[in-house]
Order: sequence, then structure tokens, then C-alpha cells
Amino acid sequence: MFNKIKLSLGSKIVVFTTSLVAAALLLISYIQYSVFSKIVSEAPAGGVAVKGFSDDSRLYLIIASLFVVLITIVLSFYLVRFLTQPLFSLKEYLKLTEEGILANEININTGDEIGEMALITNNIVRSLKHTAHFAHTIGEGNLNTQFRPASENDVLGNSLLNMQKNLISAEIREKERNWIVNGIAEVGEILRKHNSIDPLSYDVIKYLIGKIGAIQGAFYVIEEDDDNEFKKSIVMKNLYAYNRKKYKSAKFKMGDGLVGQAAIEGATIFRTEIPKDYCSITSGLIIDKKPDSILIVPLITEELTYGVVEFASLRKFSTNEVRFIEEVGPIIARTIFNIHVNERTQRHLEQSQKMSAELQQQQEELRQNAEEMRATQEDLQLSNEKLEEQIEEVNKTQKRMQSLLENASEVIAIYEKNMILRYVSPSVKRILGIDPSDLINKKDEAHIYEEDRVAYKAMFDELLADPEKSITIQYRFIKDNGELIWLEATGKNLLSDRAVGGIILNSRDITVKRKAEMEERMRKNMQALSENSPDLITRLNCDGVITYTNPVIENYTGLKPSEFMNQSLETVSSQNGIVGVWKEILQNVISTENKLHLETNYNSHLGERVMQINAIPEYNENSLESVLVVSHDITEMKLIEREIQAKNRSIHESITYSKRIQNAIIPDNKSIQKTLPGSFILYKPRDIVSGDFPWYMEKDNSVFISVVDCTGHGVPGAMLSLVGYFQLNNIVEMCSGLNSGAILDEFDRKVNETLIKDTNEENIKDGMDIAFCKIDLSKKIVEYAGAHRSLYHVSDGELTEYKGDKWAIGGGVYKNQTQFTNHKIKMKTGDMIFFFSDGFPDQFGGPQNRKLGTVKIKDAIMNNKDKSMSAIHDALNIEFESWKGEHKQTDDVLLIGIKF
Amino acid sequence: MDTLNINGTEDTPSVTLDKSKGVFEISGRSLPEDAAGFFKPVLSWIEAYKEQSNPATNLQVKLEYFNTASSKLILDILTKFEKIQGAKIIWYHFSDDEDMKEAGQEFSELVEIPFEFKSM
Repeated sequence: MFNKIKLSLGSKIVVFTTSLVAAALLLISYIQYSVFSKIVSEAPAGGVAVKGFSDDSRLYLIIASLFVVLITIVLSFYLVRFLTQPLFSLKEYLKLTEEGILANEININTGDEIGEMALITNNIVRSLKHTAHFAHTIGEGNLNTQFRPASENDVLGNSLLNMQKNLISAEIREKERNWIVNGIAEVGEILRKHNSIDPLSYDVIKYLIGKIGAIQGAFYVIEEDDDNEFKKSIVMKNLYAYNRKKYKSAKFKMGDGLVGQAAIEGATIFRTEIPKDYCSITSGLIIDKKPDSILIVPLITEELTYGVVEFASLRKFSTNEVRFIEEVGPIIARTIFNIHVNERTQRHLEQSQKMSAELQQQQEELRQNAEEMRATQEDLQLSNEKLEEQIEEVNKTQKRMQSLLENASEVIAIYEKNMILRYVSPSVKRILGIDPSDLINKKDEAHIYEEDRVAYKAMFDELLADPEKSITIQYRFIKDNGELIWLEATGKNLLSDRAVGGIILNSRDITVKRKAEMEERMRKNMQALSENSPDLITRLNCDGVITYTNPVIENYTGLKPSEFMNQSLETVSSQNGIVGVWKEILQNVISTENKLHLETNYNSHLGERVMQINAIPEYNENSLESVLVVSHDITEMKLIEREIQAKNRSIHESITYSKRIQNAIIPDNKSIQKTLPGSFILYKPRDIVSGDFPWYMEKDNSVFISVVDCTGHGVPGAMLSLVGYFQLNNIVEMCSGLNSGAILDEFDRKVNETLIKDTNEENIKDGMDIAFCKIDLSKKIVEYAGAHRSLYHVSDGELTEYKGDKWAIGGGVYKNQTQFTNHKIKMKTGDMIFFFSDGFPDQFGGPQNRKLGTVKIKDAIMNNKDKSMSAIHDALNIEFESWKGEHKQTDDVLLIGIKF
Repeated sequence: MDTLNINGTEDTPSVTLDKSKGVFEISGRSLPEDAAGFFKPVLSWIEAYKEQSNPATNLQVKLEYFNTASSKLILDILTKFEKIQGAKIIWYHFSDDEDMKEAGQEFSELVEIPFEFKSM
């Protein structure tokens, strides 16, 4: 059709156009000609000349042009009549259409393209109208209107169809949304109505079941254990099935079962495959039918799970239903949270209210108590004041009492039945010197003198046996310092007396009294003693009156004691020499107030007697009262004493005589010094005679000189020394040519022989030590042998000691004893030898009373070695004497020194 | 058996012989006039003790000085101890008193009994 229109219109346009072009060409040719002619004529001679057209042709061109114009005008009329009119109508119609006006159909009945165009235009408008109608109905909300698009490619129609589809699905979504929103609003309404979990859960679950068409629903709330916040459990609050509330309860732990799993994971569980052991729905209609789907949704807000809702259905829940439950979940959770908070707040509020009520009550009680106390305190204060007054009074009384008890002359003590001391007055400190605290709660038996304990105990026994009785005893008491005093105690049994409740003992110190009594007794005893004494006993008072004399006076004076008693010394017959002595004694004692001890002779009836007199001053209350004169007859004793003295003297004399004999046989310094000019003998016998002796002999051009120390000293030593002396004499005299050692061997043998002969075993202890020298003066050779004694040889300023053998002469034969050693020593001029008995080194003395020792002797010798022999003698003597000092001499001392 | 106790004087030693306490001691100075008389009870006591001696007997000799007569008797005493089982002599001397030390050594050579020397 389009092609047809195009063709028919096209042929008209070709004709028309061809005509137009032809006319135009003509016109143009003419115009060109006229223009070029004008240019040529006007152009300069020498200029460019265009050659072409001639003047004839110019005419033709004008006619042609006129023709063309004519044709053009005719054509224009035609065109206007047949072409422009329908086009204009069509244009008007299209213009209307462009403006959106869908007018009635255009009526152009040309069979050409324009007519076709009009037909097509009419179809377009019809189609548009149909589409517009569809859009209109949709616009009116009628989404289900059927509409067919103009063609498959109908853009507008397809778009509208698509729009319809979208609108329909939008409407469905909106419905679903609205369903949810409404549901949320309604749940919100339910939630607002309640403020406690139980009714809330019931209403909510009931509503939700209805809303989503479940057959059963349960509402769980997560409860925290009060004791342990980490211990949460899921508690079923309401179960609702088949429009009825089920009274069933359940409790899970977090994570247990599907509900627990949903709670702990915080995620919805939607299952259509139901575990076998899952809950069964019970109802009258369906018995134990398994649901087809279950929906478990945790109620979560702010990431915390507050509960779980669980639904079961016999059909599958839609997504929207699931979404709805998921969406109301947080709202319910929020409400549960709020309720929890409210409940907690409420609980706290109640608690605090309760507490404050209790507090108030307590406060009230306290206030009442305080009031009562104040009242009591006031009363107390009053009583206190009264009490204090009383205490003060009691204190005063007590102080008086204390003072009385302290100063009492008696000790008051209260004992329990078992003799334990319960109380003792403070005066015990003053009287017995013991602190009361040391006695209380103890038995004081230890303080009772042993001999008196029985009597002391007996007193208690008696007091207990006879409570009526008051018993007084005297006993000795030992003070802490050991002093013994006499106490007189009066005991009374006051066990039944309420104030005392014990045995009371009043004790006082009667030592002085006892002493006086004792003295009195003593005096009496003395008197009795005096009466029988062999001594003459007299008492003279300071006024010179004889207050007493014993019967012995008669022995000396021939007069009875009565003739002297109470007589003044002046008036007693002065013919008795004794009275004169008494007078002197009395004067002496009165003036010195000291005891007097003297011996005196007096002529008596028995002749002259030697009397030893003791005069003792006797005091009374610190003043001299009398003098006791005891005269002991020592006349006999004196006679014996004299006899002893006489014997002593005779012994002494005899010993002194012995000494003369000993001295006679002992060599003296002078005789020795003839041969040994540089020699000395330091000889100090301890007693008159000596056990030590020097021995000396010259024979065969040799000098024999030795120090002999006999066992013992004094007479026994001297006796033994004689044995030694004569034996040595014999040996040296008889046996020539023996060296010193051999001489001592012989000497030992002889002494043993001599001493053992007539004595028993025990006396063979006697023997002697010896230092023996045989000196060849011409050869200046000293042969030395010693028994326990050493020889000191000083040569060239050095001291050499030659020790003797370690056994003695005599005294039996010693174990290990061999022959005496003979030391042969060559002397130089100026050399010195010293040998000595042990008396010198063994002398005790010095600052610590020790032995003098050989070291000091050596030192004394060496310190004086360059001095003369007499100077060395003196030095040694001084050493000995100063060491001995005030001590007695230990033994005989003998030291010989020889200088060559 | 009875204990023998002799108090010392300036010239005589102290002697304690106590079997029960195991104390056997002679100390001090010995220069009695009659040495044999002085030591007689000592020797008899030892004689009796010999028959019933303790397992160990330590005789402590602390003599500062003894005279020749005493030395014989001390030797007798020591000789008597020879026959006592488990007897020993402890010989004391002042550290500077060579004489007494030597005297002890001499005794120790003369008797068959262990000696121990100690200085005071």
C-alpha cells in the first residue's frame, strides 16, 4: 500500500517536477542570455569578450521563458486542486494526532498515496485509541483487563502489558507487606497490653498461630539462673495448639534440641523434614500426627536472644509467614527484655522498699532503745554517784583498815580447812619480811621450823575437831632470809562465821621474849653449870659488888661463897690476894669494855697457883652491867709445859751438838780453798742438821769432791749422811784408781748393803743423790759421775750440762739400772764447774709460789760468769734468798762451785 | 669400797682415790717428814683396789714437787698400778718445769704402764 501510494504520488510529482524543471531551464536560459549580452556591450575593446549567443536566440529564449511561466502557472493551479487540498487535510489531522487528540476517522477518498496515507492514519489512531483505553482501565486499578498488543513489535502495547504484570506483582507484594505490617502492628498492640511474660506469651502465641495458620505453637523464654549468669535455660512459657492452651511445660538447656540450637545460634530453623522423635501434636481431631513443617525463630534484640517461638504446621509455611515471624521476633524480644528489666526493677524496688521499711522499723526500734537507754543511763548515773560515794566511804574504811593491818603488831591470817592460806594481813611484810602475795593460796608449812611442824599441824587438827576452842601455840618461823623467829599464834575456828569462813590465826613475834626467857634459862643453866664447874666463877657488878661466886672459891680462900655474895670488893677481907686481882680486872674491863684474858699467879689457900683468867663484860640494854670472871687453874698445865720446854731444849741441845759433830766431819771452805783456791761451798741446811753434805778428800794427786743429798732432811737425813760419809771415805780410801763412775757403782752397792742389812723392806726407800767429781789438778781433768744430779761446766762463756744417771744411790736396785757413767772433762784455766743438791732448784717462792728451777740458777751463773767466784757465790745466795722470801725453806741447800 | 680423800698441805699432796666416780688423783707438793708414813694408806688403798678395779683407771698425777723420799714412794704407787688392768698414768707438769716432766719420763721408763704427758 505504501509502495502504491509512493508510486502514484511519485508519478504526479515526476510530471509536475519535469514541467517545473523545463520551465525553470527556459527561464534560466533566458536570464543567462540577457545577462551575458549586457556584459559584452559594456566591456572594453581590449577586454575579454564572450562569444556565444546571438540576438535571435535572445528572442527565442524570451518566448520560451514566457511559455515556461505560463505552464508553471497552469501547473500550479492543478497542483493546488489535486495535491495540496488532501495533503492539507491530512496534515491537519496528523497535527491533531500529534497533540494527542484522537479524532474521528479522516475521510480522504483519493485513490492515491494520500488516500492510502489517510487510511493508515486512521488505523494508527484506532490502535492508539485501543491502547489508550487499556491504559485507562489499568489506571483505574482494573489490573486484570485483557489486552492484546497491536503486534509482537508493538512497543507501547508490550510496555503496557509489562507494566500491568509489574503492577500486579507489586500489588501482591504490597499485600504481603501489609499483611506483615498489620501483623506487626497487632503484635505490637498485644505486646503493649501486657507487662508480664505469661499472659503476654499466651496472647502472642495465640495470635501468631492464628496469623500464620499453624496448628501448634510454643513460646519459650530464656531465663538466667540467678545463681549463675552463665547458666541459661530455655523455659516453655506457653503451648498453644488447636485453639487451646496446653498445660505442658518444658525446659531446655542452651544448645539442647532444635529450640536450644536456634537459641544458641540465633538463627531461624525452618524444617520440612521433621525428626522422628520430634514433638507430636495432640488433638482430638488428629491423633499424633507429625507436622509437615516446623518453624523455630529465636527472639533476638541487640544480638541477645531472649526467647524462642516454635510453630508446627500441617502444611509448609510460606516465606512471608516465616519472614513475618522473623520480623516480629525482635519486637517480642525487646518486650521480653523490657519486661525483664521491669521485673528486675520491680523486684529491686520491692526489695529496696522492703529494706527501707525494715530499716525504718529498725530505726524506730533503735530510737526507742536509745530513749530507754538514755533513761537507764540517767538512772545509772544517779546510782553511780551514790555508789561512788559508797566506794569512797568503803575506800576510806579500807585505808583505815589497811593502815591498821599494816601497822598491827600481829599477823592476821585466814586459812582454808586444808591449811591453805587465803588471807594474810599486810603487817606480814613488816613482821615476817614476806610479801602477802608470796604466801596466799599456798600452804606456809615450808616456813615452819621442821621441829615445830607437828605441833602446828596438830593445832589445826584440834581447831577443826573442836570449833569452840581457841588454841595458842608457839613455834619457830623461817623468814625468807633464813632468819629464825619465834611466833606465838592464837587460832580460832571461824569456818562457820560467814564473814570469815576460815581458820583465823593471830600471830605475833615473840622472839625477843623467847630470847629473854631463854637467856633466863641459860643463866639458870649457867648458874647450875657454874656450881659444878672446876673453875672459879665470879660475877662482879660495875659498882664493885660480888653478885655471885661459885663454891670453888672455898678451895682457894677457905671461905664459903656466902661470905662473898653481895659484898663489896672493898669490904671483903683484903687478905685474899684474889680480891686485889679482881679489882684490877674490874677496873680494866670497865675502862676498855673489852674481854680480858690474862694469866696471873696468886697466893691461895692451896699455895701459889697460876690462874688463867677470862673476864667477860656483860651488858644490859647496851650498858655495861657486870663482869663475869672465870678463873681457870693452870698450875698443873704450866708444870707440864715447863717439862716439855725442858725436854725440847735438851733435844735441841742434843741436835745442836749433833750439828757440831756433822760440822766437824764436813769440810769447810777454808780447808778446801787451800787446794782449790777458786772454789766455794754454798751450804744452807734447812734444819739444824742436814741431809745434804759436801764431801771432800785428797788422795793420789787427785781431789775428790762431791755434793751428797740424802733422802729426807733434819735428823734422819743427818743420820743417813753419816752412812754416806763413811762409805765414801772407805771406798775412796781403800780402792785406788777407780774413776768417778766406778766409785759411785761401789758406793751404791755399799749403801744398799748397809741399809738393807737390818731393816725391813719398807725402809729401803732411803738412799741418796750425788754429784761426784774426781779432779786431776795437774792434768786439769774432771771425771764426773752423778746420781740424779748434773754438773754445769762453764767454758769460753758457754755452759754445758753433764747429766747424771737417772737412778739413786741406795734404795734398792732400779729397773734399767746399769753402771754409773763416768764423764771425763778437760778443763782450761778460767773454766768453772758447778754442782748442787736439789734443794736450790726446788725452793718454792717467787710471785706465784713456784719452784725456783734450774733455769734461774743457770741464768745467775751466766749473768755473773766474768765475776769472781765469791761474787758468783753472793749472786746465787741472793737469787735463792730473794726467791724464797717469806716462804720456808723447802729442803737442805748445797751448791759447790770451782774455778780452775 | 671407801673413797680415800687426803687434803693437801704445804708439805703433803692432795690425794683423791674414788672408785665409784672413777677419780684417781695425786696433786700438789710432796715433801712430808715421813714420806713412807704419809703414803702408807695410799698404797694399801691401791692394794685393795687391785682386787676390784674398774675397767679403766686413769691416775692423774699433778705434782709440783716431790722430795727424794717421796719419789721412792711415788715409784711404789706407780708400780702397784702396773698390775691393774686398764690403768694409765696421766702425768701433768707446768709447761716450764722440765724437771717434773723429766721426773715423769724417768718414772715411765721404770714401770710397765702407759704414760700420757700433759702440760698445765
